Amino acid sequence: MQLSVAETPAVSTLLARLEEGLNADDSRRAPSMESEQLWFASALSLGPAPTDQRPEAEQAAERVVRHRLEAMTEEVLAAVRRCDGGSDGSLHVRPLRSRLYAALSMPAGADAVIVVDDAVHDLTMSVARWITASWASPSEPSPRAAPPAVELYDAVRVVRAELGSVRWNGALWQPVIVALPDESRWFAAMLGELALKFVLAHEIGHIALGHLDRDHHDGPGGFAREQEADAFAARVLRMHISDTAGGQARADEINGITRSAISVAFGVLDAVTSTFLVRGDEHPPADERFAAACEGCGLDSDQAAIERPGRMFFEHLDGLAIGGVPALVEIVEQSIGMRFARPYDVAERRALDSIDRIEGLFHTPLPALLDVLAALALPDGDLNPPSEVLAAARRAEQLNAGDGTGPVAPDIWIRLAAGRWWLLDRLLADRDPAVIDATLRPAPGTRFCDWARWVERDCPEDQRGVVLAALHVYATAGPQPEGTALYEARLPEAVSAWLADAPRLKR
Amino acid sequence: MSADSFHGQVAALIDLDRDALLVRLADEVALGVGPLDADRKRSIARAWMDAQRERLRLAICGDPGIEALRETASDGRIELSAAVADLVASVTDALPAATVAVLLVRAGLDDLCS
Repeated sequence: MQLSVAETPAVSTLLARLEEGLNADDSRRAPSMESEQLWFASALSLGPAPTDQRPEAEQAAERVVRHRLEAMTEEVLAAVRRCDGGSDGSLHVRPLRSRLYAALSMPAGADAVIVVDDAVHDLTMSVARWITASWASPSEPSPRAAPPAVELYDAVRVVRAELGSVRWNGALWQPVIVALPDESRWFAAMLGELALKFVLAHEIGHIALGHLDRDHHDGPGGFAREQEADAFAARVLRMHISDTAGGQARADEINGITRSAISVAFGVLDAVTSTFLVRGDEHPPADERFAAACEGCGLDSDQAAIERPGRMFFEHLDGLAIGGVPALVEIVEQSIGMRFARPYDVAERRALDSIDRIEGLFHTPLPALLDVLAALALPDGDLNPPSEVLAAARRAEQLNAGDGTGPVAPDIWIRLAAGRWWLLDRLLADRDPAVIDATLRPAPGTRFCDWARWVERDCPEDQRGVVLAALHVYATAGPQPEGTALYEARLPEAVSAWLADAPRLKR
Repeated sequence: MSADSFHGQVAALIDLDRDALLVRLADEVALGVGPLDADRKRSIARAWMDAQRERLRLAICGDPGIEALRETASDGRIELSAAVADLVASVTDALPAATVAVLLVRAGLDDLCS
């Protein structure tokens, strides 16, 4: 089986029809317009993006995700060939912004296509990150006597509710939890990516095992096929992790990482199912699938892992400091894109740490965050939070006045998140005036090569895609003089070409 | 595989309503992880059928056997569907021929071939 990145009529038509059909009813999608505008307004201080320009930016960002998925699929396919030899035919993998909360494999003409819904991508990456953040890494002592813990299901529900607001914050396409130290970021990225690779391996398994062939249509039912694909994926993932470690990891480390990634993948899917009460799903229960997948490749299937992948993940490292496990560091370092280039100084990290942990949504009053913002001595005119931020601050005070354990409606989460991210973006956007003012507010006539130089030199590698997507929108639609100048400098075309250059933006 | 060999499969499907057929089709062509309720399955099946439409049209429309059956069979939905299934199956091994055929005949071959 070979990965194909070529466009074919069959794949293009299928994707277009799926997107059209699945997005016909928009009523169940989390509202995101306000948050998107907040992102555009705050992250780059460029003013809100016109609604009619947003699709262009989304397309650009989706290209980045597609490159990522294709790169991950390539890596999985290498392990597939080592495990089971694979099969004939071409394989396409595409992100799909829909309401599926699922990944699918389907025949498309003579080829097969794997469709990964944005929720699967986003939730998996974000939940891995939040779990890592909430548990902290062994090398980062917890500020509390007992480490803060977030149940996976809670993390998923919160992320799901926030999906609209995180979409353009970068968490959709890549993680932006700025409070995590680099080691934790690496682990979160690795955990999320491996969980996604398990999902991709599962889909590849359906194809490699012939489940899409006509002969299987009257064969074993859905449960048997799913469990067969799960076991296949577990074997492939374990092989991939072993290969990546270059023979330097202990077997229990490889098993622990494999098991954790599988548990995150199943945990996210199961939590989404239970959260949104999806009916008619014919997949086996997640715990059964997890057990079967683990047993299929000789792994223990600790049931608690489904609910606590973060704890299990670190427990299986036997409590060693991450820096003391060379094999794991090796895995991280060999994985392009798991580095987070932007260093944060101690004061900045401390300020952000106080607000970026998940419990900060509840327990750090937004008025306090406003104080943090004010303490940064921004120009007076810049401290002008949107009304929803102030409303969220008031709501946060009410929540903090209670015991903090009551149910919170999704719209409250969204507003809280919007406020939080607005502030984070302001903090980040204004931390380095030399860069932000001189570069992101260019003088008329700024050429694309100036932006490119800034992106290459200063922009975190994992955030380039979304930055460029935002620039694309700005340059295309920006009413300000700078936007006109950039448009005249042919920035949109240059950005499109840049985004099309897959190797530079793969991760 | 001949039309006769699809007769039994078609007969088992012929009385299912369109929604049930679409759900069945989604189960046959879309495998994966994650929850899929009936609404989403139907959307997936419709999208997949739309994407196959041109290939199916080329395989089925104008076939003399199909034309003859359409003209002569008074109550021959099973026979017609089985014959269509045989042609669908000739397109690729990956198509769930019987389900696709019953859906096409249910919608009317005029709709496909016009």
